[in-house]
Amino acid sequence: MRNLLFIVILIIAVLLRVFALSSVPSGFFCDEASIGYNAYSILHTGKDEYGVSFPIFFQSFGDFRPPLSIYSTIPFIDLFGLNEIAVRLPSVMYGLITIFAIYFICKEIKSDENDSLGLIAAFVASTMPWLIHYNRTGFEFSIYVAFFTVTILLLLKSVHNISFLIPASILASLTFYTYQPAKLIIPLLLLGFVIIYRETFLKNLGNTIAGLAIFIALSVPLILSFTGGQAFARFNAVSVFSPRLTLGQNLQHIINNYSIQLSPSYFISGEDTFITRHFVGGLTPLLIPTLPFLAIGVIYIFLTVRRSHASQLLIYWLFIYPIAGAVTASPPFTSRSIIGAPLFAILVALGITKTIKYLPLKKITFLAIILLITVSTIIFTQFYFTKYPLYSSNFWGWQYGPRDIISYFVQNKAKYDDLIMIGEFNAPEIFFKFYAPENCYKCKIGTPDNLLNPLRKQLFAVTPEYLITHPYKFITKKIIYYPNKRVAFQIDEVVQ
Amino acid sequence: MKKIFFGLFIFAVFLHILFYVSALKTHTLDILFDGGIPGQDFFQIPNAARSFLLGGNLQGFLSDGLRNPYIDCCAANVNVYHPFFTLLIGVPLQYFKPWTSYYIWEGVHVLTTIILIYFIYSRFKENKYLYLGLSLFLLNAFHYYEIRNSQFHFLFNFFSFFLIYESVKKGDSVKGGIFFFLSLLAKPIGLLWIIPLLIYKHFKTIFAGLLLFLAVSVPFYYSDIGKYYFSNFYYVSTTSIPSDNLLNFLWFFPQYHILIENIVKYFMYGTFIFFFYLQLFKKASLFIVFFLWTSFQLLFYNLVFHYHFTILGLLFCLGILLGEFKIKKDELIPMIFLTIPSPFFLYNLGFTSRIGLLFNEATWSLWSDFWLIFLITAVCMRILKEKTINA
Repeated sequence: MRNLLFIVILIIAVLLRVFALSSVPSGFFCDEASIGYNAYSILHTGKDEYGVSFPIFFQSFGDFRPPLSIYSTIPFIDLFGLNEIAVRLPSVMYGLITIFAIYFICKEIKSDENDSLGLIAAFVASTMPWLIHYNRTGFEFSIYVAFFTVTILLLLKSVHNISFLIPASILASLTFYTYQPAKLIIPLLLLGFVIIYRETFLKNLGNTIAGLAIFIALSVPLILSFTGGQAFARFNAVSVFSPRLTLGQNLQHIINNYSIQLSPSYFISGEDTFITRHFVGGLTPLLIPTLPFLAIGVIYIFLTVRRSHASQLLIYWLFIYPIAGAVTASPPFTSRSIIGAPLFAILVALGITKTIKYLPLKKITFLAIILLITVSTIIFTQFYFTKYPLYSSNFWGWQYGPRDIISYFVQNKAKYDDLIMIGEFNAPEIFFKFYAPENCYKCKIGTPDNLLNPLRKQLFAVTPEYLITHPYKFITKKIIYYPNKRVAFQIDEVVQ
Repeated sequence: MKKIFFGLFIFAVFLHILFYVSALKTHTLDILFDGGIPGQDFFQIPNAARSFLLGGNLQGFLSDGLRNPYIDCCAANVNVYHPFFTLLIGVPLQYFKPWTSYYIWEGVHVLTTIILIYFIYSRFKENKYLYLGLSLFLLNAFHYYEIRNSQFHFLFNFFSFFLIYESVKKGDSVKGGIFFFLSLLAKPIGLLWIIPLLIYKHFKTIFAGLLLFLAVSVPFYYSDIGKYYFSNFYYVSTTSIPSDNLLNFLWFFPQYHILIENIVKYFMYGTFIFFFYLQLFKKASLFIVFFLWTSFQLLFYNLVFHYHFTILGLLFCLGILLGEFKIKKDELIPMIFLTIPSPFFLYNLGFTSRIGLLFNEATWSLWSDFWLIFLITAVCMRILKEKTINA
């Protein structure tokens, strides 16, 4: 029965993550395109987009991208071709791995409600907007949280069976190569874990040293990257530390960012950002009705902190989860601090099991809570698939448009000398590589202002805003609409 | 006697089938019933579900204000049902073509009737009034309105029946709670069951039912898409006095408007107090208490429609089989008159105008309310007499 329920939970998780995967989120961000194209390039040439053979860090938009997300996308590109689904599917897979890990972590946490805790936590994780949203994107967040969660699982297993320490060390070091915040969080996790379970590690000093040695050995490329500046490129770009501010002001900023991520309004209203790729405009990281259970779960771990190592670990996890977000200049935090998602699934599940324990009619209470989460998920699903695309497809969101523009360019390339797309996207060149890797030699980024040549037959993709401020005469060939029916781009010929 | 009842049952089965054939196909029996637009009630749910799936609201409006994305051919109502109920039923139905889903829903109605008959048969097969009870259930003429509209009220009846059965038979409070929840989900008037359950200390049933109901309501309450249900519920529950059902009498005596309104109002207060008196001091049985509060709703609730009276068919059946209604003329006669069609159909021959319609409504109210009050009086008199003798 438990296995059947777990399978049902996984089916729900898969459905929520793969339904309309190519169209929601509506658009395809340059980071996703970069991951996809580099995977494609490695698959076919063994080199990245800059011609480096099998790099450990991928140069990308001015910094260096950790490699695992790109390498793990290769099989999907090989199977499905270079398209949005192939780039987003690895995240779905890592989302499912995260749910598995959460389930087994709960089995390791020796709670008195051990039987149901894992299933409830898995259900909460499978329906959690925080995980669903990022598991549907081709970013590195999902691989990071999956590796992080599996590392915790293996570390917990190593407490009872020290032979798990070697795989845990390998996973911990590999997590460094998933997403930038891991460089900060993984050492903190290991430090805290060793302190909490010090008896175990002191008792097995030989294994502990072996594990540490493996961890350090596998981290050598990362350590070397510090000397080359690769490791700091992204941090320098987004970090909170500003030379214009005093140390005190910087610290105040960090504390502010940190406390935001623990405040109820963060979970009730979402993030304070205009970037609609993240949790704004009605999209919240957790289902609101699960918040009371989260509060109960948090209270529970604090009440049991003295007698339970598991509670100590969860509190420590809660303590370190916001740090990566806190040291960055501004939101979004949900992506950088995504390791909070599995923790909150476990805490909500703990809150639910405690609620059931102290209320009469346990079966009915359990059913009521499952119904509450199910109904909330239905409401979230409607919002996510029908309303979220309406406000999140423009420049500050998922930058909808390049696929349709380039598809039209490729179809009509024989008729024109130049196919020119306005640069209204972050790193727009990557989209030519992604959507037409060997097929768009005539494609360029620009506008009539800088590339108009009366001697050449040219096709321009521009925004309606551009047309208002630049009164060229156009013959419109195609109009591309955002999901909210507003004009996103016009593909035009300039009339001389 | 059993053979006569069996013969009656066979007749009832045929007539019940004829209800379906006439309401859905031939319309032969339409002359016996007040008018109505087939599907008017039914389509509100698949409309709302389709609208929800397309990003609109659960009343049936798309985000651009367009109404009825599922069917726009007829006068489908704006959805008023519980959001979860709407989705549970509407989402599967809206995948079919409109009139196909209408007939599928009729199929579900037939299925619930078969389940009820099977359940009653299996539990009461030794009872000498089995076929009489089943006949009163199947012959209930108000089914015709329910079938023609393809209404959802039969689900309320269905779940209420099992709730009453579980409660009266002192069954499983978890099961009872689930049936209470389901009846509430189908129609919020199910809240009425709290009174008998509370008085008879079925606290666990109430707790279970309300907890489940809250679980599926709270997320819709704070979300905009479910607000309509709660504001509608608030509106209906705060404007239900006096009953427009009983006030249909006014059609006959328009000059005594204020007087009749006051009479109805005080009659309602008096009935309310009297029912409480019967429960608290005369210890009327739990089944009778369920019956009295059902009758209270039918008499005084602001928006009582013909099909609401279908629940009486089930209550008569169960009451007779449990020995709660007596096979005596003062109880059997009103039951029979509440089962057969009311005589207002005579006016269908002569009146097709608005006046005719109002007259029908008034006659219907007069007829059904009279016999219901007759039955309540007979039952209450018997209880008072029994309790006095016992005392």
